[in-house]
Amino acid sequence: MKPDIKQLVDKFWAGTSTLTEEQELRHFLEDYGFEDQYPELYAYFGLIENETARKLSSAFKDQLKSIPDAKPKAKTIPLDTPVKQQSKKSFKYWFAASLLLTSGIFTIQKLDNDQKQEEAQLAFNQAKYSLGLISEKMNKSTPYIKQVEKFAQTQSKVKKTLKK
Amino acid sequence: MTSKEFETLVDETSDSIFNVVHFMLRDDAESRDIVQETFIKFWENTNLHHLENPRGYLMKMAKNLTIDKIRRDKTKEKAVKELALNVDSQEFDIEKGQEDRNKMKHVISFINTLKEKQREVFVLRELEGLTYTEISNYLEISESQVKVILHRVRHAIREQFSRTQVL
Repeated sequence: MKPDIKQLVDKFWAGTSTLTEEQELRHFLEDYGFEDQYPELYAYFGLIENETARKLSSAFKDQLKSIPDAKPKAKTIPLDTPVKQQSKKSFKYWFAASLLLTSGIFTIQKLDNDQKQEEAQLAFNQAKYSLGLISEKMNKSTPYIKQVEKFAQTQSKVKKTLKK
Repeated sequence: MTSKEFETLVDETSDSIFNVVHFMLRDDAESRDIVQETFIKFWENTNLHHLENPRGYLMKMAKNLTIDKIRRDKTKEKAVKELALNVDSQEFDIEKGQEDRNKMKHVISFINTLKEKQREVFVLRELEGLTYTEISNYLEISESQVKVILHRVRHAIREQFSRTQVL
């Protein structure tokens, strides 16, 4: 059955024709040739045909098809990965590690101070002991010193008497 | 998506993507580059491999890459100026001589100067062959708006054909 060309053409320009009707119209114009009757439509279809007729070469298509070989799939990160939970966990680890490190530094410093204090105490005790030892010896020798002094006095007296 | 499925997708969509990109760029080599970049990006992003309509996504991606390229290269005005100069003389196999080819170039330049929505409707309907419903969903406008825009675009092109007397 011959379609109502006039009606189809009007629908086409009005922008209300379906794809099937447009296809029908195109075929009809190709088969029967209405170039003189509908020159704008003829030119319009010519333009569309030109713009949709380009084909990529098979060599280029093969190149496109080889993309999966050249570009391996990237590692997929599942969309339901619990990112927040993971970051909280790692935050806890970091916090614990830094706490441990800080307390470690303080402990070392404290140990160092204690050691220095102990050393000082030890040196003080040793000095105290040495001074005590000297003092004790000094106390013991005091009577002898007095005896020596007395001896010296007596000796000078004797010398003076002998001179006279 | 397997390599085999990817090959099928290339067979089914690459020509139409190339035509749409070429319509915007008017350059064979650059259009091929965009097509290749589109498929590479699609393959590398595995999240896209489970899409229900990969063809639509590929087309959108290709158009965005083309628009980026046009913006990068030059301003739109400059691109439109170059458009007329870059059209391959063998593009129009109408056999009506150089004069008619130049007039056809003029019409294509005119289409590229249309408002973005109008140009989108023209490309989606005439080059991609989408239905009114599909265009309406794609552009997020009503079907009646699509029809009104298409009506205006077709009339404007018809007017250009009459003025330039390509006929």
